[in-house]
Amino acid sequence: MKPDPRKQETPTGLSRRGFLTLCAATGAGAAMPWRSFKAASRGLKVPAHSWSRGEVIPSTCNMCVNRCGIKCHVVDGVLEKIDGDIRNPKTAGGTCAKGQAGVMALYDPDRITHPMIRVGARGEGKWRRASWEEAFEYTADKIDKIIGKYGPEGLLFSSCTDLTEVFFIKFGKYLGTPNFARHATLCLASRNVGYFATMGSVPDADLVNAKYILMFGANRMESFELPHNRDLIAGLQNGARLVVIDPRMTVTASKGEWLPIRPRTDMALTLALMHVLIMEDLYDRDFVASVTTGFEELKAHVARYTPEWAQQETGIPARTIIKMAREMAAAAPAVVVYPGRRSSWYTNDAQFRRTLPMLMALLGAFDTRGASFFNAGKVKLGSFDWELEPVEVAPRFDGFDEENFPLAHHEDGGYINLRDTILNGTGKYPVKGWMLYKQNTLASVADSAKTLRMMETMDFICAIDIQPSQTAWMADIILPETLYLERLDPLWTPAGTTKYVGIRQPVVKPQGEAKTLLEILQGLGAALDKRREFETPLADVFNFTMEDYIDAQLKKLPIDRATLVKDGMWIPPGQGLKLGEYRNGNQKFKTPSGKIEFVSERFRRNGYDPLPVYEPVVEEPGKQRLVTGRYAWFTHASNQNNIWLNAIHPENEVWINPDLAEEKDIEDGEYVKVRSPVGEVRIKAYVTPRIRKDTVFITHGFGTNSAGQTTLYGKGAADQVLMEDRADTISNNQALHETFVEIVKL
Amino acid sequence: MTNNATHLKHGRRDFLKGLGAASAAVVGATTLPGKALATATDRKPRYGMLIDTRKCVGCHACSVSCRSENNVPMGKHRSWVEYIEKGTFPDVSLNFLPRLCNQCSEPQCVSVCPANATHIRDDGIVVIDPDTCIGCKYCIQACPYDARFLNPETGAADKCDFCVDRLAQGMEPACVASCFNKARIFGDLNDPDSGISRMIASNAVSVLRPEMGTKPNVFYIGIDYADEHDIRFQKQYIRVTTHRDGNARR
Repeated sequence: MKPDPRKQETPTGLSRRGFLTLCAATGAGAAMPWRSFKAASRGLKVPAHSWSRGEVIPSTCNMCVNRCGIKCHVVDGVLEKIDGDIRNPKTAGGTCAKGQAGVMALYDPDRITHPMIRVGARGEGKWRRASWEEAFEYTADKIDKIIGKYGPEGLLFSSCTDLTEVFFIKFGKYLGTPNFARHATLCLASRNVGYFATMGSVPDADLVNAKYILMFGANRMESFELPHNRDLIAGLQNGARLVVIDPRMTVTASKGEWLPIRPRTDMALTLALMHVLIMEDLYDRDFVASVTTGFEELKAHVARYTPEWAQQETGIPARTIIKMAREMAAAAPAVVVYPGRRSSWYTNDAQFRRTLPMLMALLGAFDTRGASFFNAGKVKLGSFDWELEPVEVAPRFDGFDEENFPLAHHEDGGYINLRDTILNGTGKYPVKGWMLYKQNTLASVADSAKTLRMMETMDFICAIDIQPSQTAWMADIILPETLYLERLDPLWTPAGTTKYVGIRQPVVKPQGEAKTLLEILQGLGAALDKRREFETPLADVFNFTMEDYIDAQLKKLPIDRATLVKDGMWIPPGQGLKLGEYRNGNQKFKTPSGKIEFVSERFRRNGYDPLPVYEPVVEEPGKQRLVTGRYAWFTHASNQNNIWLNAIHPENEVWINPDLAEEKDIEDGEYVKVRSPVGEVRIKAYVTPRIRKDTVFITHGFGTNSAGQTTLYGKGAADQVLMEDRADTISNNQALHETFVEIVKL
Repeated sequence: MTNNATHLKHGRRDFLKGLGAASAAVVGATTLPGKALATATDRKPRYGMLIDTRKCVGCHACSVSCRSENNVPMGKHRSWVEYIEKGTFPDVSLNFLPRLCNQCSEPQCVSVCPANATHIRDDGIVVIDPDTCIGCKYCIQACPYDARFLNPETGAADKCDFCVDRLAQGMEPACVASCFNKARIFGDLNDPDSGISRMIASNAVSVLRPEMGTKPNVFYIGIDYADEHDIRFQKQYIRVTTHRDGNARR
């Protein structure tokens, strides 16, 4: 038995070396009973674990999309603790609450660990356990029927961003469907379209050395994007000023100066800032002359957008706007106008996002220390040779194409218009089968009643997931995937200030019968090949192992798989950035003119306003605008059911300004009704001065319809029930902040 | 929020007319053990922690890391983070106060224990022997920081012990290791050259409730502390959210 550490003295003095070394020595002694986390979480008696036994396996986290480096402490095949990997350039050993709760995700009693076939009505929650063989045959049968009746284009493939998503997409492509719906149009599509049109790409930000940081809604301290959240704290320690424009005081806003803007008027502020910079002659003349086009048109365009006008729109005093512009100009070029990430806010979002790089360009705050910059290039991984000809496919069914959305990325799809197309029967052809890969559409897309109606039109719904999510609960079959701690994934390499190659590898054996996505697609492909002759047999498409895939990725790099498995990452020599190539004209921007375009040629060509025109905001009297956002311990709608994370925040609330609460006679903590044109929910009131009176906030991922999520079920309410289905007109990104709700005292 | 240990709010009138400005928090005068101890000839370590709340973003990595490391039963907490909201729209402040056992040099929990089940180790860490503890809860009552709880699995008092298992392996406590922004510094207060001693010597630091005379070894930079006293004497909105009451053990 191991000695009780509580009675043991620690060695005198902790050396720095000791801190940096994870001790993985395996001690002798009798085997300790392994602690069951299910038991632990339910409060049963379990022994504390020991760091003197077991092994430490490096891998990559997957509790969100940041892919932090982790070290997993495994004793007798049981994962006991996750620590951050101190060598990781992005995280330097940090993890977040979600990363720590990966242990709980692995041993979650609600996890699905064997295939489940629905036996009751959809959503009734009656399931039977099936073998994998049966599950593959069942799914192949259904897919085969749909292909027979409607062709392969009768299938819709929905997935969320992940390292293995490429396999899911390939599977759809070789089946022959053009109909995909991915994460981008729920998240950042409008930002990308705005930035791509203006400067060819989305820049990174040198937050560590910036003197002035302007963030619109971006909430880096609750919605992590590494290393930006660490860099932002470092920047503040270095004396940077942080100004956060947000109708709600987020944690990020609390660390800087909070300007509670009237929602949907952000563009009025950026236009007025440009007005002051130009009219007061504060802009960077050299930068504007050498790397931008359309300045004279911009000057004429913003002449009418005065700070006094912007005060009327935004609620931010004109003198504050003038002061901001002057202070930014004084700090330039060490200014970051932060692009933000989730930009699914308003229907004019792509146009608003365009004003951010325009403001940045006026300040000359690009390609220099403390400013925005283009990443000097990440490690180039080799690409796997699929050795297959692409399959001819039909055009998309929903009109999300070159003709209707010329600047959007069509393969990403867009849930708002595809759902309407299905419900209105206006598609080019019917879509009757829905394959989902870790995508929780019911919780992620505005107006969930519509999503439910769309599900009713489907002949077949198959969800590949690790838990009975809201959407998986409505499926006909759930195929259990392995968790990130149980599988080998393709290698990855970050873009940004840090360069390395990371590996995600199994640290424990899969729970139950869970399979990797590749294994699932191989099984399903074989079952489909038996039924139908595909242009390329699916068995041939997936005739490789993950090891083969990784070896192909490593072809041109001076490392082998074994080294990566042992070290968990590879950091190449030559870190650091090379700045100035764009400023001095050696590098061209990927825009039609090769410069930063104040007047966007792409927008002009495609019939959009080539300069961003402000649209006045229309509000509904007596109602509040609903906005959504994140807490630091939840990712999208994916881990609210995690026992450890749910304990921090068991139930979501609607944030209400104290003045509004007084008007409506609502006490903090009481349940209220929130009503929108498309739905209503009962939710607890959180009366706080951290939000404007004309705005209410509800975080995401609660109010599950899935009784399979036993920790979450019955707690809180879903924001997506209330939200109306709007989308940005240029990028097709859904617009989540366009709904007005009424708060009703119960 | 249901999960507020304390929800401190003034009458609605006062709340609307609130003074707005954040007032001085109830925190103690600067304590500088680094200076006092630098001359000590005794080279035994005394472990302590410094939390720079300016770097803390209230993300709860520490809370969950602690739960995972120490197998803390649901509904109980060795480590937690308080959110402190003050003011009137739009002049509002939000601050974070990570909490744990203060590993006091004069701990009241030790002096009240009738069973001698809790003591200060030579390295300054206050520990509990669960086999000796009789579960009388005196220590839980005595602790001015609400840092102790009765562990339903062992029947003994329980609290943060700076992760002594990890220290024995040369590792930092779990909460320190997991902190993204390095808001926590752990180390030897008796060593004037340690990172923590140097930070304490060069910054204004404070401890929680110094009037209790417990001499805590957990120090804070940039603290904003609030308790019942503040709401009684300060006419402003204050809300303390501890995130401690959620999902009690089922």
